[in-house]
Amino acid sequence: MIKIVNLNKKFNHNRKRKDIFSDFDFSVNKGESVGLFGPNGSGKTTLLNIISGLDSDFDGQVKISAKRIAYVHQDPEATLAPWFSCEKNILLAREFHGLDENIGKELLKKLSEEFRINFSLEQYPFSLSGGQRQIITLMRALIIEPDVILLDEPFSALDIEKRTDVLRILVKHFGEGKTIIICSHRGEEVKSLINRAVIFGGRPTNIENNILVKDFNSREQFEDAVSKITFKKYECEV
Amino acid sequence: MNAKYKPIIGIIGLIVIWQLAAWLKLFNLIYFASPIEVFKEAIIMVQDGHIFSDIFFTLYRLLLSVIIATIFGLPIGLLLGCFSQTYHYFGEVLDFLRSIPPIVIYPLLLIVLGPGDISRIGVAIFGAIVVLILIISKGLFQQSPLRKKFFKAMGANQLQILKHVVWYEALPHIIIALRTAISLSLIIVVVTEMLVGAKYGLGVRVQNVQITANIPDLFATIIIIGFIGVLLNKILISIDKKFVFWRAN
Repeated sequence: MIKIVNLNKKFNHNRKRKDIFSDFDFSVNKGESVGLFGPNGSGKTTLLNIISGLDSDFDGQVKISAKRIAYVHQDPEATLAPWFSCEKNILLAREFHGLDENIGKELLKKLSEEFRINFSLEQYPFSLSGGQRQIITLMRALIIEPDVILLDEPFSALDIEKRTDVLRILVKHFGEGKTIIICSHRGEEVKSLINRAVIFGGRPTNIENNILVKDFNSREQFEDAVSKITFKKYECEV
Repeated sequence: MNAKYKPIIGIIGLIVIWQLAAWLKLFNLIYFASPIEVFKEAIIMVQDGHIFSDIFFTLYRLLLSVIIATIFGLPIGLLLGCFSQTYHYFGEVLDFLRSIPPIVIYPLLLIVLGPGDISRIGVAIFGAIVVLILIISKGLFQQSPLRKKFFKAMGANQLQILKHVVWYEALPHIIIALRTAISLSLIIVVVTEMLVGAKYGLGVRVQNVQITANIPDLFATIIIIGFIGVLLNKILISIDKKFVFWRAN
């Protein structure tokens, strides 16, 4: 579904160009829920930017076979349009994909119920809290009924109760046949959503660990392994 | 005290100081008029009616020049602001053009277009168009490209990005540019009216004081010019508050 071959990407560091990815290969199969973990600057967000099309300044091949990709950026404020209401912001995603607006409005009602929205979607993003804005970007991603969803720290501004809600909704929407790639510092947060954990490290970035749920006897064992690896390596840094 | 009354008290205070200065004869009254004299002259000006023709012609020249400058300056500013490569080519040229006092091209326009309104409006257009292009393009150029790129990644085409992002990001800069362009055009229009060929206009009225030595008339005209500037600025500030509501938040 997503295949990245020979990815080369540099970034500016102290007036020097440094490699973040050098001949990097990565692939995600249809229906996989992949968690990307790693320290700050390990390229998790850069990889999502490249897959989503937000970043086109790289060398290498990126092949994606999906009808619709949704991306929940780590900075909701910068990616929402403050001049449009939340409802308009969400429905714009459908307009960009040429999808039916009336179906979109119906879907929006359902999503509002699922996310238990307790504020008016007629409000503008600047009048919402950080967590509420994050929910709006999640709803904007789900409104296009994507095959692939890319999530970059989607729970950073949410309280524990809301995180559980969002996880439940994501599991419901991406239960079968759809693909998730989620970036997080905390494996603990997302372990119930994923069936594969990829741990980034080194410079240029390489894959230090790649663990799959199918390699374990039970889901609990897989989740334990994700918790242990990510906590030992990164959560204590955060 | 309610904040909205503070400017009124400031204005009244200034008028009182002005009147006191006149009573105390702190200035030579041949070159100076008191507020009471200016007020009396203003009543005569209104009864006489010529002031309305002067206001009309100055406003007509001002608004026509700003409208024409906007018709050309707005799309050019948007274009330069959207395409950073184009801005790199023309940014310095615009800075250079802005540094030229617009009034210095008036003699050239007088030779080419004659001493009529076209040359007066032409100079004001030149001043306004440079300001509009520069402020709009620089404002857009300095915007973070993230929102545009993100909308593009979401599937938006160029027209949708222009309609849903660029236009709104440009709007605050357009209003600032218009405020600056109007102030500059008002100066240019009044100065060119003072120089040559005009029959009506507030600049003509100011210039005529050299012949009539009617100092209260001069003071009243200067105040009217100031009022026009303030009024147009206030209208644009109201538009800004209504249509660029997200900026304050």
